[in-house]
Amino acid sequence: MTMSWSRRIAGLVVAGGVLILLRAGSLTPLRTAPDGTAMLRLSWSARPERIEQCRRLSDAELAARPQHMRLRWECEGRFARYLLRVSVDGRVLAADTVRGGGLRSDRPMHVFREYAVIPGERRVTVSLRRIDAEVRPDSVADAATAAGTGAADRETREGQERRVRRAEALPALVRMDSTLTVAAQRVVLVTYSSIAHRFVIKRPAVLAFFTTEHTEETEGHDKSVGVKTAHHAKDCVALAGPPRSCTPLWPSGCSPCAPW
Amino acid sequence: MRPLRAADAAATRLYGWRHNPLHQTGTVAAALLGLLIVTGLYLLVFYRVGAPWQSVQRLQADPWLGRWIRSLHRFASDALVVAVVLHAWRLFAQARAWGPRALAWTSGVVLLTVLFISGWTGYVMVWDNFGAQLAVSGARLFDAVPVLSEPVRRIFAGDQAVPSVFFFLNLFLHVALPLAAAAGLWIHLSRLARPALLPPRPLLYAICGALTLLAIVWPSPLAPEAALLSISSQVPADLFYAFWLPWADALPPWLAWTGALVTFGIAFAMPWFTHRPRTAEWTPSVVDERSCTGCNQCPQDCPWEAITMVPREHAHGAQSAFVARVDPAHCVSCGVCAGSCAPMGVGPADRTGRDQLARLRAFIERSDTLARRPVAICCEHAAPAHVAPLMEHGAEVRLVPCAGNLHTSVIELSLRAGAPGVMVYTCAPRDCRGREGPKWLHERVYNDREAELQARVDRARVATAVMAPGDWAGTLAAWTQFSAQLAALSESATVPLDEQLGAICEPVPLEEEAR
Ligand code: HEM
Ligand code: SF4
Ligand code: SF4
Repeated sequence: MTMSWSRRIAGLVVAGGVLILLRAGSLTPLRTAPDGTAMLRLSWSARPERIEQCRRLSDAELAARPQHMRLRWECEGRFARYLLRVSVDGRVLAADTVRGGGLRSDRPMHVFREYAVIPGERRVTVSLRRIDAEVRPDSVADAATAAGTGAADRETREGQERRVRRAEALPALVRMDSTLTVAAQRVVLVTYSSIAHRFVIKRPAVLAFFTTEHTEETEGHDKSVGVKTAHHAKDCVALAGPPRSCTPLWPSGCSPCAPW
Repeated sequence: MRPLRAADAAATRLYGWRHNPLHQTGTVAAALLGLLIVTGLYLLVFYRVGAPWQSVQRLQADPWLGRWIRSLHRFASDALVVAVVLHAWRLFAQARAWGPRALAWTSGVVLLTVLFISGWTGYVMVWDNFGAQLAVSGARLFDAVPVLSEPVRRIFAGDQAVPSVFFFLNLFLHVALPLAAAAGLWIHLSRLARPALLPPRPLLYAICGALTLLAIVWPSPLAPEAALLSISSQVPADLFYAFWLPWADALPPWLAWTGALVTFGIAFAMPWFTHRPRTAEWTPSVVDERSCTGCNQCPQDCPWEAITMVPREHAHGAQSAFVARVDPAHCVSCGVCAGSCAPMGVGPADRTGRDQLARLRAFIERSDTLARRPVAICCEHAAPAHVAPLMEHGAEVRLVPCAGNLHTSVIELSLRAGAPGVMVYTCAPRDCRGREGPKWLHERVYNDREAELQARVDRARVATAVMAPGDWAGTLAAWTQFSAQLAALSESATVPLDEQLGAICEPVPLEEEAR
């Protein structure tokens, strides 16, 4: 089949058209979110508190156990469930039970939620409250070892381990109530600091929001002494001019709008 | 089938049947896979898992090599999807998706899936806003499957930088999957004898050149770096790989998964949906062991490696120790073996050389048209639309399922019956459903391949040509030239064909077969 020039030119034009279509398909502007959207994102992993019933074994009982199973305190229990409540401007977006991961709920609790919010000044409240009743006879176990009643090394270690676990666990209540100016096309990320036991708001690299009022509360964290702690920070007032925000990371409350 | 024929005709009109890209979508896909591996190796040298977007930005900033190689890699991967989808569509439309081809089909579906996943990882690696969108949407789908207790989406929450290990995993998959696809190609082609892996050189160079030109003249830009605490209202998406993105984001994850799995399931199970009863044109070939001389020709010619030589169970007298045997599970009923057997002992029912001769002889007894007009033996799949006009141009048309089926004795008998000449029209060689029909026909007519056209037959009265939709001019030109050649011959030569040819045309008397 010999090709006429007109065919060759038509062939080139069609090939060019196919290439243009290929490039267009390769770089198609795809709408992924409507303009003027903003989002509240909750994301954290935390270990729920373990609610357990402990019994001190007698020396005879301990001796009857195999060597590797000799724990002075025999505890049975489960991990606490929490009520997660999220509201924006008083409108409740979520109020549901969250629990630890895994089939037996004995793994860390992982939360990842996203809620579309209308940009502007918004009052955002997030709280995580323990649902299960605060039965803690295990404090006796801690108290016993803490008091150093002449228990063996192992018993002391057991008590310490339990205390460390509890210190890492979620407190009975973590709450954040913040009024933010949320910018369009930005995400307000609320995460949980398991070191500071409080919610932390993360800011985008570019100005997304600034905090005008921020209150937070952590309750029942220091359980061994049963103290209720609360932090109130109303000291972050957004200023006009360069974007400012505060990232409350430390229990002392957010330092007064440190420039960033 | 009709849209495919129309597309074929249009492409043949533009590029000729030799370089019609639609005829060789499989080889074009394999060539593009090769091009991707080569360009990918270059990009790999510069990619950094610790700073993915920045490393791509550095490549993009290099106008001499980096920018266009990156774009070439992207456009070639898009062209690959187009080629593979056309390849699958073609084979489906030509009823080549079932039976012994089921392995090629199902492995093809897996290959396509692997390509999509590999493309997904490739775009995520760039870590621009499109890559992040793919990652987040993928993670959303992944999180719907209760495998991990920690949602994968937490990686992209924005509270901390995405760990390098994530990009390392992506890179690993992006390199490993195409290599797995290349290995998978071996399974894909395992049932084929002599698979063609590359398109003809001019087409290969044209495709690579065109994509390179596009990459140089109009390279792909680099989108802004992913910002996980920002919401992009629009991203520059590659629809060849991210066509699912709008659905995946709009539908609940379970529905998106169901859609994906059902689509995969339907595509994978296509060989079972399109299965035909193995009768009539789909009957597998059989060997008549009485006729088989153990010459080992049909196993060499079978394009699907469906024939093996096995020891004969009851050898009598001078019979060969080995005999051909067809494995019906591998035989696609192409009939190419029928044309390869000199003693006419193999072929699908009703299509062996002997059946062809018997039919022709019955026709000769019924009608004398053969003696008056040149014969055009046409592959019935080649270009059905050309048959009627060819008859108007004085051809006595006879159809065969594939030119590779045609036993050369039929050509000889036609001439002996008085036909002035015999033209065999084949389909375009790269479009042959029997894969190698035109090639073997040519070898048998001109190069003495078994079962060869006997030397005594005047080659001036025999011709072969390609008949392709969209190239009626080519079909007609070949016919006109052949007719002119025959006209010149009839003026000069008056010697009739050997009267004794009939006996030689029949290696085993038909009566014996009846017994
Ligand atoms: C990376 C992707 C693919 C490549 C590179 C590829 C390549 C090829 C090549 C080179 C051939 C042999 C052509 C020949 O010599 O006759 C072939 C055959 C075949 N391909 Fe693919 N292919 C791919 C994907 C697919 C897909 C997605 C399907 C279907 C869903 C498919 C179905 C088939 C079938 C059924 C055959 C056998 C044809 C026959 O036996 O007549 N392939 N492929
Ligand atoms: S018909 Fe003959 S050549 Fe074709 S696949 Fe079957 S055995 Fe092989
Ligand atoms: S071509 Fe014919 S004779 Fe030769 S091995 Fe095959 S069946 Fe037997």
